[in-house]
Amino acid sequence: MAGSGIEDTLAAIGYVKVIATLKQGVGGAAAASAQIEGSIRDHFMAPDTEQAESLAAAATRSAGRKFKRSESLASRRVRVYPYLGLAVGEVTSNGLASLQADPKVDKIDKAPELSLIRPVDEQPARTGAGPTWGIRRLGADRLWRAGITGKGVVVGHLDTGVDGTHPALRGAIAQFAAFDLAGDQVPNAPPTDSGEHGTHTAGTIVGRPVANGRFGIAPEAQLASAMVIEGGQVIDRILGGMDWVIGQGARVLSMSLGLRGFTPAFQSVIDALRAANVLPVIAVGNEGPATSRSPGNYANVLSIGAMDVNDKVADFSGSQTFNRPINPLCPTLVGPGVDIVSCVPGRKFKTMDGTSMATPHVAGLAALLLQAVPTATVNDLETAIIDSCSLPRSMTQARANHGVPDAERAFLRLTGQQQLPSAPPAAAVATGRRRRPARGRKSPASRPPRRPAKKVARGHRVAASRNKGAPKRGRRRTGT
Amino acid sequence: MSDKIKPSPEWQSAAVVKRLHERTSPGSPTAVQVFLNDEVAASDLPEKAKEIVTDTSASLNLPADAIKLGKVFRSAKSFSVTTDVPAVFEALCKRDEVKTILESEQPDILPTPRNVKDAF
Repeated sequence: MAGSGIEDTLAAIGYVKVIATLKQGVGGAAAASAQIEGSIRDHFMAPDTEQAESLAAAATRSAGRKFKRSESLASRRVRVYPYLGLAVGEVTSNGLASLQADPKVDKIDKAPELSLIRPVDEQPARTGAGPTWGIRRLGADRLWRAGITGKGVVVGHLDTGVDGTHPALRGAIAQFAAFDLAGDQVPNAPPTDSGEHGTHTAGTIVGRPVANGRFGIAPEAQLASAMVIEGGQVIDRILGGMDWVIGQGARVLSMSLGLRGFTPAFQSVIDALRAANVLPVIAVGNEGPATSRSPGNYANVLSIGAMDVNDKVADFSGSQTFNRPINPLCPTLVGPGVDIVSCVPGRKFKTMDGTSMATPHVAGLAALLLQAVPTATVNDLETAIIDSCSLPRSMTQARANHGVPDAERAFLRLTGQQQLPSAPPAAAVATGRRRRPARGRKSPASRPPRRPAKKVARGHRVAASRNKGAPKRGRRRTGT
Repeated sequence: MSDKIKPSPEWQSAAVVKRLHERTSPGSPTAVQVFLNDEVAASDLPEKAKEIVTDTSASLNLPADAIKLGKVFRSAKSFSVTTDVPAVFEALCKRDEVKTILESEQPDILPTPRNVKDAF
C-alpha cells in the first residue's frame, strides 16, 4: 500500500512525511476533520519541530508577512483535508505499519519535499578597513594579536580554482593543481579560477590584508589549492584533488562542495584524509532545514552551516538528522556565512552568502590552531574547535548543533594554556604526517576535558557544559 | 539505529542505473565512478578494478574494449569506467565488492552562493 520512496527515506533518516488517502466515505465535511484527525493522530509522530519551525520561519521571512497558523507545529501531528480525503504527517516505521493497517486508509504516498526560493537582498555591502564581522565573531583577530596568523600551515582547498594574481592572495598559494577529465594532474597549471567561487573561499582562508580591509582568517597561512569544478567528469577530479591534497602536507581540507542528499561514496576517501591527519571541513549545503549534502553530512567530518551577523542561522543553511548512533545531526557547527566579503578574480571583491562562505572561516581557524600546536592530531584539532563552541540563544541545536566556535577558547583548549601568549609562538612546520606527542606526554586536547565554564558570555551556552545533559543527537564522537 | 545508513533515493544504485540507461547508447558512452566496499584493501585496488572490468565484460559477452578502465583512486577505493553498453552498469552494481556507483558528471555539486554583490 505504501508508495515508492517511503522505505528508502525511512531507512535513510528514520522517518518520512506521507500523504494518506482516506477511503471513500471517510471525511467529506469540515466538521469531520477534527474527529478523523483524533482517530488517526497516534499513527503519526510529533514532527521534528525545530526543523519545521525553522522552515516556517524562513518562509515567513521570505514572503515578508506572517502566515495564519491555528496551533503550534509542535502540537499538530497530522493535518486532515476532509474534502480532499487526505491526511498529511510524518511517520516512523511503526507508525507507517499502523497507518497501513488502519481501515480508514486507502493508500499512502511519500509527500513531496519543498524547498525555499530566497528573494534577492538588495542591501548595500558593508565595507571597512578593519577585520570583517566574521573574523571578529570567531575571535580570530585576538589570536592575531598574540602572533598566531597561520604562518607555516598549509590548508587544502578544492574548488573552482584560485586567481593567484589577486593582490589579496600574493604569496598565499603554496601549490596549485588542475586535473584533466581522467582525474590526472595537468603539469604546470598556473593558479587560475574557472569561476569566482574558489577565489572567494580562498580569500576567506588565507586572504592577505588589502587597503579595503582584512577578510582572511589565517592571513599568513598558505593554500594547496586544486581546481576540481569546471564541468565534465567532476567526480574524478574531486577524488584526484583529495588524493593530491593528502600528498601536499596540508593539515586541513576546506571543501565547499557536495552532492545533494546522502551517498556513502566518499566515506573511504574521508577516512583516508583523517588517517593522514587531515581535518575535513565541509559545507553542509544551501538547501535549508531538513536537507544536507554529501560528504558534508558524514559523521566524521567537521560539517559547517551558515550564520549571519545577528547570530541567526541563515534560512538557507542546511541541517538534518540521520538515523545513526554517532553524530546523527549535521552541521557540526555554524560559521559566518552571510554578507561575507572576499576577493574574486580580476582584482575585484564581492560579498556572498552561503555555507560555502562559512566553511573557509572554520578551515582558517583550524590553520591558526595548527600554527600554535603543529603536532595536534586531527582529533585534537576537531575536539578543540567543537569544545570552543557556544550556542547563542538565538539559535537552536537542531539548526546549529554545537553553535559558534571561538578562536581563543579553542586555542586554550588545544594548548592547555590559561591565556593567550603575549609573544608570537614559533612558526609551525607544515607536514602531512601525524606527529604524536613524546611518549608519556599527551597533547592537551587528548587529555580529559577540564571542568567547563558554566557561562562564557550572557546569552551563550558553552558546548562542553551544554553537552553534559544535551540530547544524544547533538553529541559528537568521531575517530579516524 | 544502524551504523550504515542507506543512500538517499536519488543515489541508490537502481536510480543511478536508470539515469545512466537514459543517457547511454551505442556511440554515446558515459563515465561512472565505481566505489568499492571497505573490505577491499587499497593495495589490491588496481588488480581488483581490472578483475571487475574483465569479469563484467566476460559475463556480458562484450569485446575487450567495450569497457574502458580509467583512473584508480586508492584513497577513495574507487575507479572510473567508461562504456556505451547500458547493461554494464547493472552488472557492476550486482558485484559484492561494489558499494555504489555515481555518474562522473555531476551538474549540481557546488552549493550556489546567494546574494552575490560587488563590494568596495
